[in-house]
Amino acid sequence: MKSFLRKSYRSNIRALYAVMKKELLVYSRYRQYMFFAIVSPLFTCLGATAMYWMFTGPSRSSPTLFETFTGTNNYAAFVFLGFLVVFYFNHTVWRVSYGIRREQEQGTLESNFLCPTRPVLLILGKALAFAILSSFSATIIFLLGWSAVDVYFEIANASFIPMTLILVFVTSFGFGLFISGVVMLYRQVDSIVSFFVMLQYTFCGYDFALAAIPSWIRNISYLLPATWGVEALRGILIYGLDTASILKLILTLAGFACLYLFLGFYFLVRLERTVKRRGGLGAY
Amino acid sequence: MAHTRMSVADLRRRTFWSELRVIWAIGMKNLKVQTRYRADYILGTIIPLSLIVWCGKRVFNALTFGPTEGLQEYTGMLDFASFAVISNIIMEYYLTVIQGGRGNMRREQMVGTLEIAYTCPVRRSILLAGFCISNFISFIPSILALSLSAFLMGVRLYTTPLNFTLTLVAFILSMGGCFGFGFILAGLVVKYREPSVLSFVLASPLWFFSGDLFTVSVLPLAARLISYTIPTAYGLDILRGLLLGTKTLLPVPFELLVLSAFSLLLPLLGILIFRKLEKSVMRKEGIGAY
Repeated sequence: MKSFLRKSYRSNIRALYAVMKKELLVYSRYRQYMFFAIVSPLFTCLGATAMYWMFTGPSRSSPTLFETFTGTNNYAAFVFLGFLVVFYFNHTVWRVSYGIRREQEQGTLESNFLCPTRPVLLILGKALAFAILSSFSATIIFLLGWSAVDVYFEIANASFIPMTLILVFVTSFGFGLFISGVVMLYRQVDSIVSFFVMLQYTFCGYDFALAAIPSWIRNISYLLPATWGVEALRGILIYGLDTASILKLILTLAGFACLYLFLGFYFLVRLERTVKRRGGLGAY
Repeated sequence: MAHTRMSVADLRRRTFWSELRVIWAIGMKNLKVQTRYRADYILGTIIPLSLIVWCGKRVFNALTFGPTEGLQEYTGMLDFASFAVISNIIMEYYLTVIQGGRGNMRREQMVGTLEIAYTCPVRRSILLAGFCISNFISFIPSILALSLSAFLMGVRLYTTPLNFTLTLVAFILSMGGCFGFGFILAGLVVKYREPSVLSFVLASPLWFFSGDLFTVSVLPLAARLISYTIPTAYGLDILRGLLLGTKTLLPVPFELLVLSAFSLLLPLLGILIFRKLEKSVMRKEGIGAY
C-alpha cells in the first residue's frame, strides 16, 4: 500500500507515460485531428506562397521588396519553416488548454488532480503527446510542400536543429502551464487562448520580413519566443548563418524558455490555489 | 375546452411567422449562451482582438512585398493592404456562417438536447437555417469592430454608390452558398460528430481555393478548376471588384448570375446531403449519440 503513496522518479515517469498514452488514444479516436494538423498548416503555407506568386507576376520574376529585406528569394522555404515553428508552438499550447477544458467538461479534472501525482506531470504529458504529433505533422507537411511548391533548404549546422525544436517545446510547455491555470480559473477561455496564439502567428513574421514593419511593432515581435525559434531555424536552413550567430539566437530562445517555464509554474501554482480555495475545480 | 383545442391547432399550424419565431428563438438562445461566458464574448465578439490582429498582419504582408508590377498585372491595383484586409473580413463572415450549422449542431449534441430539438414540431431546414442565421447575426458586432479597425489601418474603398448597392446584392447572394455549405457541415457533424477539427479541415482548403490572400488567377490550372466550383471564390472576387475596383474572374453581371445559381442550388444540395446523413445516423447510431 505504501509503495503507491511514495512518489519516485519511476512513478513520475509512469504517470507521464499514462497521460501521454491517454491523450494519444483520445486523439486517435477522432481521426480528423490528424488531417487537421496536416491540412491546415499545409494550405496556410500554400496560400502564402501563392500570395508571393501574385507579387512576382505571371513570369514569377517581378522583383519585390522581400528580396531586399531578407537577402533570399526562397520564399516557400521561408514560409514553411516560419509557419511550422509557430504551428509547433501554438498547436501544443492550444491542445494543452483544450485538453484541460475537456477534462473539465467531462468532469474528470477534479479526480485527476486528486491523484497522487503532480498536476504539472498531467500537463507535461499532454504537451509531450502533442509535441510528438506536431513533429509527425511537420515531417509530412515538409514532404508535401517539397512535392507541391519545391521547398528546399541549404543546411548549415544541422546539429542545432533538435536543440532549437526542444527549446521551442519547452517554451510552449511553459506557456501551456500558464494557460492551464487560466482555463481552471475562468473555464471558457477560447478567445483568450486564441488571442495569444494569434499574437504569435501575427508578429513572429512567419510570412513577412520583420525588417519591413515599423520598429515599434518589431519590438513586440522580439518579445515573442516563436520569433526567435523562427529566426534560428531560418538561420540554420536558409541563410546559412555561422555558428556564433546561431548560438546567439538559440541563447535568446533558451532565455525565453527559462522565463516562460518559471512564469508558467508560478501562475499555475497560484491559480490552482485560488481555484481550490473557491472550490471550483470540479465546476463546469 | 374549445379554447384549448384552438390553441393546440394554432401551435401545430406552420406559418411563415411561426418559422420566423423559431429562427428568432434559436438566435436568442444562442446569444444567451454566448453572453454567459462574458470574457469570451467580449474578446471574441464585441472586440474581436484575434481578428483585428490578424488583419494587421495583412498590412505587414503589404509592407514586405511593396507595390509590384506583378500585383498590378494580376489585380489591377497596387494597394495590397486594402485588398487583403477586405478579403479577410469577408472571408471571416463566410466562415462564421458556414460554421454556424456545424457548431450549433455539435453544441446541441454535446449537451444532449439535439434529440429533443428534433422532436419539436419544426422543420429540420428551419432548425438549420436558425443555426446559420444566428451566427450571421451574432457576428455583426465583430464585423463593425473589424471594419472600424480596418479604416484605422488605412484601408480605403474605391467604390461608387451603384457599386455599393451591387455589393449588398452580391453579399446576400454569396451568403446563400454559405448556408448550403453550413447545412452540409451540419450533416457531417450529425454523422461524424467532432466538429472543430472537421470544420478546420474543410475551412483551410476553402480558404485557400477562395483566394483570400491572392486572386484565383495566380493558381495553377488544376487548383483554379477547383476554385471555380466554390461560391466563396466568386463571392470574394466580385465583392473585391465592387469595393476596390480589382479585376474580376468574370464580368460582374455574369458573376452575379453564377452566385445566384449557387445560392439556389447549394442550400438545396445541403439539405439533401444533410437528410441522407441524418437518415443513416438514425438507422445506426441514433441522433442522441455523443
